[in-house]
Amino acid sequence: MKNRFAQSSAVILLLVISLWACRKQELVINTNSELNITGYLDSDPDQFSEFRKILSLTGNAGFLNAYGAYTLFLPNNAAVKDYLQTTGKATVGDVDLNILKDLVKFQLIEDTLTTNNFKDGKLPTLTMYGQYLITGTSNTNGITVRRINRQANLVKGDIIVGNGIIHVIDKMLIPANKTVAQLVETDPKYSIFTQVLKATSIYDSLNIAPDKNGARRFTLLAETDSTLKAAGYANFAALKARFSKTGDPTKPNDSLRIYAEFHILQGAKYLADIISTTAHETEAPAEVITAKLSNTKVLINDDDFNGKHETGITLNRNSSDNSATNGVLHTTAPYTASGVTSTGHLAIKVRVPLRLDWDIADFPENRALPSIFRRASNEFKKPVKLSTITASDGVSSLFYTYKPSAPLIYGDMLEIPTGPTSRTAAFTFTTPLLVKGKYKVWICYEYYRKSSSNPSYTNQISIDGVPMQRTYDGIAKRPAGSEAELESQGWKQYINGNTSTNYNGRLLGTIDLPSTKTYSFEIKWVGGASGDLHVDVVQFIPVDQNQIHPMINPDGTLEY
Amino acid sequence: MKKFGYKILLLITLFSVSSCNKWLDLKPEDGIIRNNFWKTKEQLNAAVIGCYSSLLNNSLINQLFRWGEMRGDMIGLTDRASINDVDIYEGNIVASNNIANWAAVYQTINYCNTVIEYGPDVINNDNTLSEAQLNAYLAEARGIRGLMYFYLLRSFGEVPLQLKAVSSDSKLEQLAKSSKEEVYKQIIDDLKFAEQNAVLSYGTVANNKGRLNKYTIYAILADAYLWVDDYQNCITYCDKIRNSKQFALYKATSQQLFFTTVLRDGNSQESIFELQFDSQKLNPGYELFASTSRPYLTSSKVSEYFGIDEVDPLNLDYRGDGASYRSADQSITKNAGIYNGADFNLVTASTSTAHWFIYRYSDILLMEAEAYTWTNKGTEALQIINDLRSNRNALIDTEEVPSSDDPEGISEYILHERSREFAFEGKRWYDMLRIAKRNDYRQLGVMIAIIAEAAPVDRQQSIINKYKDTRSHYLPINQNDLQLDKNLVQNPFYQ
Repeated sequence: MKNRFAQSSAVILLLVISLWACRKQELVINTNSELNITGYLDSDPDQFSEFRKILSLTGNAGFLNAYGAYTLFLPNNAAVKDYLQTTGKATVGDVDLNILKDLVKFQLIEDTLTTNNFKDGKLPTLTMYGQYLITGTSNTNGITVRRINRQANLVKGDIIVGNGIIHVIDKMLIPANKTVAQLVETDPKYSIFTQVLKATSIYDSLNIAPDKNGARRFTLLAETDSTLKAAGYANFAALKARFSKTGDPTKPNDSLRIYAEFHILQGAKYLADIISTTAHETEAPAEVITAKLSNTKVLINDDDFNGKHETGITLNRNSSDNSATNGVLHTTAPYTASGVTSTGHLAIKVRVPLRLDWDIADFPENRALPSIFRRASNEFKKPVKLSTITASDGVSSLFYTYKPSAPLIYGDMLEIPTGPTSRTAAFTFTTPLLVKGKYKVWICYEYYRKSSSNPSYTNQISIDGVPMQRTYDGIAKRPAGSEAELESQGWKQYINGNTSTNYNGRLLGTIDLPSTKTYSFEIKWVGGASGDLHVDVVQFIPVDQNQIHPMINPDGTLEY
Repeated sequence: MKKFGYKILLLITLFSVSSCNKWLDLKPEDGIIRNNFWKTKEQLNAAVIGCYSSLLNNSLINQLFRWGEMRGDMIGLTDRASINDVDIYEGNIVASNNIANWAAVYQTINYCNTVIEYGPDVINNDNTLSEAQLNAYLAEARGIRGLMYFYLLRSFGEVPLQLKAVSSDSKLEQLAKSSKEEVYKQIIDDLKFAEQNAVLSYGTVANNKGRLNKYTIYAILADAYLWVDDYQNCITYCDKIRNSKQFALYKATSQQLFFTTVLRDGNSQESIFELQFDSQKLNPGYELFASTSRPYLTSSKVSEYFGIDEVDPLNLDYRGDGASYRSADQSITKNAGIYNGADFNLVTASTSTAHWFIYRYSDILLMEAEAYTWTNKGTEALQIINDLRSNRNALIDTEEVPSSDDPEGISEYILHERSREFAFEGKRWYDMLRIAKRNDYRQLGVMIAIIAEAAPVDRQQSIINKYKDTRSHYLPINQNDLQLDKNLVQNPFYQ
């Protein structure tokens, strides 16, 4: 019996022991095993221990290990050592703490940006330091690398961690420490232009940091001495003699000051930003510059104007896109097109208001259709989203009509369906280049009444958001009367040799265009029945010119 | 008593064991397993037809189209295009982009491998199958396999060579990439076998244009030799096709006739190899180019490539507006257009039946012209181009007059002519790359110029620099494949 007891207690004991020997149960206490930024640094000390030390010193290690959405450009150990070497410090602990804090902020963006966001210019979001980073690529001996801020190469991109994205780089990113004004001043090739900036006191406005200037940033298109010399200005005195007429270049109406202001754009615009928009306002009152990309060149003010090509200038890619604390610096350069070479000298063109007869059916997508353009009708399908015409909604298509039997200019017109519910509410067109000045605006159209019971068909025209004084009724005809009587009522015949009242010019009103550029021209239904507007031509005629003559021949020529 | 009990137990066990038979049988009763297949030549034939059927896979066609066109300049994207395609357009190809997915191609390769591995068993079971017939079937499988690897070679450069049938998970191999030279050697091996053993004719037009015969193999060989600048061999195989008198350019009297005969109905006298889509198996043209959710349009460059007749704008290149594309709404119509009377429309879901072209006779002509160009026969090359142009009613606007001793000039002319002749057939990028890489990338500038004009303006400089790095001309290995096969190493540009 005793034996039995001993046996069973031995078994129980064994059981108990074996139970104790069970491994400790691992409880999952994290919802996610993914590393955060700091954790990622810790996981690879061979590469990132130095930057990890910096984070500890600046006190950023904690917040980079917490919830968030960051993009970190992570300098590897070689990068930090290289930085220490160039600054003559032995360890990261020797570097001034405030400098380290700024460095960390400059490598960090509060947004998640993958390499797909890298373009030829700045990243869409500011760094936490407050300057933009620019990206690009460079190719040496057939090997292409991505460049970050023209300082570092991308070693490994798009590492996704719990609280953001890491891009490993091989050099520390250092923020710019000069203002736009200082950049120009310290580069001897801009000596004349620097004198211009100083003489006009613009230097001071370009020398303020954004945080003391309402976050304002600038883009400066600077001219080199050699450019100015080629344009005939051997020194500052020559330039001043040519432009400054008031004797005091700091005065707002002095032409030297306006010349300098013409080189300044609002905001930090890198080349990729400049070519993404066709026109940019300058600091010179009501003056814009145009921009476009031709092959690989960035062209400024290279325009067709009044039937003639005007060769512009280019921005030299190698010496442009220079970041400053408060903006960007670009360099102008000469450019040759159709046998004409410009000097790279960028000056305001003096233009007088010029009459424009705008065939609104002439737009790039239509011109690209040789079998259609001025030959056959066509439908531009909804939703209408053409390079110069957009619809406010996707309800209606836009119709191009070729009707050689009618006396229409070039035999064509646009049928624009506007109206409530079943038609598009508004179409917006982009005008050709218009010179600043005061104009009367005429809309020239074919009368079209969709249903005989329609009382009226009223549309409002707005130019750059400014409503014109008179509405446009697509089913109104001009009354009888002499030319002068009709003009006083805002009516006219616009086609030379055709007196039919089915074809009318209607005065929309007078507008003072503030600058030389392209304008938006909106046609919006406001009342009456819905229908189709049959628009042939829109005229902008300077107020001091004859509004009736010359009329237009159906072949597009003017009859004086 | 106890003993009796044991006896009963024994008896029961005995019965139950003998009745076990069916239960333990794992063979499916409603299907065929491999051990029962590969017995008759009909089964072998069915397996080979299965290889062709796998080519009619929409995701395969979609991928071949994207590999050949997306990095060119003739495709525009609608707002329904996938983010993957937008990324390619913006020059951001990464390993997770589905353009790098080669699964559909390897699927076809595996079908071919299965035929190549098990097909030879059939001759042991079916006495009516002759050695020559067997080899003809194997020739088809190896021909298709060679063609598929040729697509992979041109798109990825180095790829794993899977040459064994994977019939179960246990046979999955962790393969490493083979070098370009090894892949190329395998392609030539397969094609040389196919050249020896393929039949000359299957007896019907549809089979001759839809299955691989000797002429198809000649075409693939010519293409493969041209890819590595082996001009003499390229000319040899082009001549075999030209001298056979089996093919000729169709002499159309109107654009509509050209389109309907050569492109819409297919299997014309120009046809060498076309994937035979029909009303039973519709082609993906409707989804890609015609439906309201289509992702692809023509780019603005296309109308420029076909040119304008300033004197008579209604005089059109037969291949241009009204055949390859429709300018009025930028639609791609080569595989998705249809004439109803004189109206040129897009196909509907049920009429999307056009064939997918792999090789047409004009391809042979232009390949030979390219080979002539580099063997001091510029005059002959220009003659071929001009003959083709006059057959296609090409416009004076697009005519070029390079000197007959200027091979680079003629090459560019051929590239332009090929953009017209093979618009949207999935050949554009391969043509650009072949011409750019020749003679140690001497004409890389030609590719860069095309890319620069097609690039989005705010990324142009980055894209130019990427394409200057010739490693970027080949696609990355897909992220998933890298994870599944530990022996695969990402291509250097994408590391």
